[in-house]
Amino acid sequence: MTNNYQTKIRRWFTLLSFLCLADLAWAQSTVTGIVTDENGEGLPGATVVVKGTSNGTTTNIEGNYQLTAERDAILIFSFVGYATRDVPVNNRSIINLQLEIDLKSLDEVVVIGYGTVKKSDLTGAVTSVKPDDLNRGSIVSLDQALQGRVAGVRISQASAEPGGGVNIRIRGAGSISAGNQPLYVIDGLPLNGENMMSGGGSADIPGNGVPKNPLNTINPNDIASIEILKDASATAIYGSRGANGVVLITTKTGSSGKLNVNLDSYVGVQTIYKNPDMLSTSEYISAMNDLAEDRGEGVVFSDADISEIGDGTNWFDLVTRDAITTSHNISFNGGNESSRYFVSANYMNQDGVIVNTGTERYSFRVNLKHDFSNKLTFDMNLTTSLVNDLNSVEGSGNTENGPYSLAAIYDPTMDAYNEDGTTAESDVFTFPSPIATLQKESTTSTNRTLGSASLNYEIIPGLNAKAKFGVDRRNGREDLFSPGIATSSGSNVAIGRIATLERNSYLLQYTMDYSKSFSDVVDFNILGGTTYEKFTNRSFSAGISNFPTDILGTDNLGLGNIENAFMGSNKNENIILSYLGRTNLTLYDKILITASVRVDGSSRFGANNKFATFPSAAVAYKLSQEPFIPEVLNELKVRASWGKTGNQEIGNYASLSTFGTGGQAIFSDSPYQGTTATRLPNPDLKWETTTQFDVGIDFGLWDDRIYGSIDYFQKNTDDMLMNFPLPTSSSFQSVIRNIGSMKNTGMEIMLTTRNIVEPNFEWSTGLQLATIRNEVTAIGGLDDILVGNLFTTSFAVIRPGEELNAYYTLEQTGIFQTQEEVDNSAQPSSAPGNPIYRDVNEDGQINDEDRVVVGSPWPDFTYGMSNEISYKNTSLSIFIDGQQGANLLNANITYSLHPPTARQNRIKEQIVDRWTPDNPDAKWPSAINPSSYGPYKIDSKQIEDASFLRLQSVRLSQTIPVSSKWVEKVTVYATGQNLLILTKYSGLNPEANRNQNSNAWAERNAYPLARTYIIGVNIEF
Amino acid sequence: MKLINKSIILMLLIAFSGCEDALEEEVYSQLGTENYLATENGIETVLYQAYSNMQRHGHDFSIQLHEDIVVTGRGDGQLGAWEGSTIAPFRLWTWTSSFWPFSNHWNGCYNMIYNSNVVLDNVEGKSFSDDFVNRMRGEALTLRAYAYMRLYEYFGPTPIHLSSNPDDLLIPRSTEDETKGRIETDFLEAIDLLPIDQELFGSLTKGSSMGMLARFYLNDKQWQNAAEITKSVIDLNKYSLYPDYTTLFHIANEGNSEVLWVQPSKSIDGLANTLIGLTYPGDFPFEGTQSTFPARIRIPTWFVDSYEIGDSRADSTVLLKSYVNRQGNTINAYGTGGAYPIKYGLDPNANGGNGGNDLPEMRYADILLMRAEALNELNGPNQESIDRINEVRNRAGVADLALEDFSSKDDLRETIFQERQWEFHFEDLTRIDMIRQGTFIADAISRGLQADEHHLRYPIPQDEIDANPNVKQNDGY
Repeated sequence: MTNNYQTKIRRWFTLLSFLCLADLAWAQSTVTGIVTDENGEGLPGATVVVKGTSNGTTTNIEGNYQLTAERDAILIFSFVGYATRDVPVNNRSIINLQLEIDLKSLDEVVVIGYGTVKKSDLTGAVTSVKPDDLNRGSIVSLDQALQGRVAGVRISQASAEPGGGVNIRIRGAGSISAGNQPLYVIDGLPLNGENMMSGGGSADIPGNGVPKNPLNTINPNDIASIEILKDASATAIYGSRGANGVVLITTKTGSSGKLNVNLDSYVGVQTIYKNPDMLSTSEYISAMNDLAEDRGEGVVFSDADISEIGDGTNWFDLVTRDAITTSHNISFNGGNESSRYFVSANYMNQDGVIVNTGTERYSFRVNLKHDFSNKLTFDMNLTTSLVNDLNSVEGSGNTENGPYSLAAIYDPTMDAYNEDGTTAESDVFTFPSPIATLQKESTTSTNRTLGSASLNYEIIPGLNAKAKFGVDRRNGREDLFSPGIATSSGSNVAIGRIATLERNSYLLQYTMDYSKSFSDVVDFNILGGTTYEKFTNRSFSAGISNFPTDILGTDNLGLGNIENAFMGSNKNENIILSYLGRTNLTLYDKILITASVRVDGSSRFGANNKFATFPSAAVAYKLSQEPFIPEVLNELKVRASWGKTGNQEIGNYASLSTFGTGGQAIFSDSPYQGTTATRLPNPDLKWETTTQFDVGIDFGLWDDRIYGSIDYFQKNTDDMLMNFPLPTSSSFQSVIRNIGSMKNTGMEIMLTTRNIVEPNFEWSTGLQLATIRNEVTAIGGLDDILVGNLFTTSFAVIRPGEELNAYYTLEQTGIFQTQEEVDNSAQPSSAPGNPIYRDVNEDGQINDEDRVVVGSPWPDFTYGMSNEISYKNTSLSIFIDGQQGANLLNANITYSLHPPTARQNRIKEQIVDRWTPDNPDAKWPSAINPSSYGPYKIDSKQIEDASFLRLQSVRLSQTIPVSSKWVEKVTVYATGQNLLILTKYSGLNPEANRNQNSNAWAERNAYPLARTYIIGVNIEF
Repeated sequence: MKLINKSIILMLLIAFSGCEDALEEEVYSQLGTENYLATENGIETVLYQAYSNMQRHGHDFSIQLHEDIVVTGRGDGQLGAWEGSTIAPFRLWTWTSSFWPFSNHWNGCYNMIYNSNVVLDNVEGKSFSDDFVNRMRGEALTLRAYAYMRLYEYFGPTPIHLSSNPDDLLIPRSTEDETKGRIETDFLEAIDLLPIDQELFGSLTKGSSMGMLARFYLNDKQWQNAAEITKSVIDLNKYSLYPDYTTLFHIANEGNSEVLWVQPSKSIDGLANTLIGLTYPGDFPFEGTQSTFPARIRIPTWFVDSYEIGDSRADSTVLLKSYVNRQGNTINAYGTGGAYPIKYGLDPNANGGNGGNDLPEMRYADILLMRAEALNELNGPNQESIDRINEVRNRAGVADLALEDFSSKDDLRETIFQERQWEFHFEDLTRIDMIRQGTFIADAISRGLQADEHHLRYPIPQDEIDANPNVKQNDGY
């Protein structure tokens, strides 16, 4: 509500108050005074009533009032949005009073599935986040804005690339193979969360395990609130898609009255937080010479070579940059009594710190509401956006790939360019120069249109019917091109590919709800409905190689050699048909009972199991309504809930056996396409079921000076969809079956304290803390399943009794000092300077049997702390988040310890502190013959502590007083993001994960983290 | 108002009914099993799939050749990830059951078996022509027998699946006799069914099936059968030695008269092999689009030296000993790290290190030397054995042997095996030859390795052991 609008209301109330004054002729004793607002300014229109009578008045335009009252009477002061106060007269004739804002009344309504509820009437574990509580700065997607803010919601930036993929786990990992991301519902429309094209995996551009975030298509500036549904009572209404939690996003709506315009613009710069600490040119030269000497070989660099090399090349400097980020957002809202609108437009650009990477978004939104009558209303939300990505080409596989990972390992003694200006080629490496791979092109562009329209009709008072239609249409195109100079095979053959993908879905939904109060005792509400959703995906791709020139890139694929062309297309669809119902019952405004059920049918599941039922129930008791609860507790509510939710996120057709495209056979020098059975059928395939139990308490003390909630939950996932390994002699690796069970238990605390509440000085602190314990309880009778493969080694295990995907490999206990030690060990063919592994079963050899659990990717607890301080027109917000007790495989160490090419650069510490007879206490092995270290490349020493504490953002803003007819308010701000990360983790990003869909976490070729500094201005008209 | 109420309730009823058929999954881009296998085309594409399992490319191809040459010490890798992690266990004899080349070999063979079984299960009892049915059955039986033979060479007896029906998946390992009987039966039936000539080069013919059966008999020391079946191949009068060993493997001479069966490749995505990238020196002055990988394969000096003077099989176009590099310097490879095995030559259309050279699976020189070996085992030194060996030696440009030079069966056997090492170097035959000769373990020990009898077989892949409680691991693993 704007100042202008408030003033209007105040004036109106003032007028009323003068009318009322006429009645007050026979005064007994006169009381006067001034009622002021939180800033000490007069509050016009406030109501002052003598308690127990109809005698009252309202304040005038200055906030003054006058009335007559008995000398021992009590006056009641009230105003909309402010806490009501009772004040005894006590023989006084002047009573001045400052009213305080009633926080509870401001955020009273919370969005839940298929409806809303008063916050005080919530029975489930739902966290509501307003835009002011979201992360600030250069934010591409709304989940980045939530990072660290909500207890029990672990949001990790799996790739630090602009717009890079995000891992979200609400109340822990809920599934092994059926997806872990929550369901996003925007303005009542469930989003299709599947990724678009990853920008790699073909045309010599490596596959990207962390595709761009599908939420990048949504403008975070449009958000009015985000509700995170965590317990089953809240999520069961979303049935077979509720098991990983549900995130409800509500976008802004217009309000009646004058047109309001808001403009927000910022510009910023991002700099690399840190590069890997590799050997410098001179360190590299001595390392190569020392290693050659230790191997009994001649020196690599003679003195003459060294003087010729000089400073060599710092490859990082050539492939990275300080990157600009900018955003401009404008929104309009307004309307009249029957129609309201909100319109916004946004342009956002974030360049990447690696050259040739970045993302940009254009988005546009119209939200309309129209009342045809007071019974029939219509609303519509429509947004369309275009996201253009320049993707990183680093890849996440076993070998060196993109410019940044090549810069780390490339020979620092060579020159980057030849004398004629062309890119120099290495004599010792066959992979291309980092600056050559900068010319690899990977672009994706995605157009997404989200629209929904609904009609509401009030049939009789309390009975409403609502029909909703929604669409989510995404069209994407991917262009991949590798010029000859950049191909990893060194073939000098350019290769290009274009792919398109459409992901379309539509929703038909019909709901009815009925509310009724029976006296003061019972309030009840019942909701019923049905929904039908259909998802269709279509793709096409074509590629070709042997271009006569690189100049045209993918703009003329026809130039390539048609003999080397390939193409493909695919179409698939799935359907969800659902029936849902919910009832809320309130007794004596104290006891709240909720029950819900959803019946989901999914085309994805086997013929014998098409439908599933997901029930839930919850009860809450508002203890603060009871007289025996001390006054200091202004709110106290205990809650308990139970329910079942499901997970249906497996691919389409997983229950059917079909013949699909197989390999090609060659006859007479021509390829012949083979077909093969894609999988074994499983007609019993069904959804995963999660049964969740939650108890919680919501509390507020001293008029919400301190408020918060505590929840304890237990989530048991059964019938977990898993690829059950088959004997490969059957020709199939595995079949998807409902065989696994997993348990997540945890505690969540959210606490806000308002430390200082003064007219011109406020300070509040928000704190969230969550601890989750994950345990795999069954995997279909198997002992364990090895997962996560890097460098031909599995590094994690799924094993009953352990946390999901616990790190599992050999435990390194030290370094061999002498040949004698080697001879007496379980590794007789090893050598002094090589790592010692623990012979767990003491059978005198080191092999598969000696692998043990050496760490867990799951933190013991995660936390976030915000501080908001405002003094007059200046405000400062500081946000810290972190995790404690998680491990992460730093595969950069592995790669440097086991370099495929002897001449590649290494992590400095591994050479500086390598074992030699003169350095017996070295941290790292001798580096002389890494292939003799042992059977695996990955051992416990590469599983690092990934605990971190991060100064996520600091924002300082200043509101500038303006006296203009057009401008109402100007705020300038400066924000710093990722300013400081305290961690023992030695890699680039303690949250990195090379494969977004995998819970087997590992950093490999991670995109470097950036520090961001932005300045911006926000103007309200 | 009542009308509106009624229509809303009606809408609700409609919404709640009649939609359930919609949950039937409609498949668009894949093919339903029953209809598809009722057509000749459907059956044929499944057979192509079985061939494609046999025709290895990329890393699958590299490991097949590397395994043979490295485990026998007749070659070694240098540089690159390939050397570091992939072939080191073969060099050091430290392989374990989870070493990926074993599951790679296992899975490839069993995919071949499954797809062959799909063909065999579905080709009969339909309205297909007899010719078609015979040809399909002949090729599928040969591929199945070949797969069981390759499995046997690696692992010994393995589970035998004779149907594509998924009901029984936990089949235990068969016995030695069952395995061998199955291989022999399938090959014999296939030989009856297959034509002598096929339209498409690369398809199995009577000759290729006979040649593979000869290899099976020889390795199983069924000398009489081996002698007879090799004679039958010779009597087909279809095959002859290609006159020049140094160009025998070149891409220009693919499909020449010496080849009974090949693993073909083609220089396009996914169908190329890695010979160029792995065998040429990194700084070789390529004229076309060829280049190399970081990894390299080198042939030890002692092996190069073992050839007789003038043997074209040790020519510098077969085993590259020195060359002028891109910078114009002469590099002596032979003295430093070993020769480069470049007998497959360059593919002019190579995509970097990936090219389209065929790898011979069975060639006529092998038929001749197998016949010579079988006759020697049956009768001791004899003129036909000497003549067959001399045919091969003549082509290589080395002097004839004479019967009187050989005093005993052992003597001639040794000569034949030496001849085979020279003739079939880098063709994936050395390990099984040395096992048949009985020198595989002793040779490893002489190279300083800790080797014993259990190394004659590789371990069953761990995935299979884990998933199939009825399969027992080989002794010693």
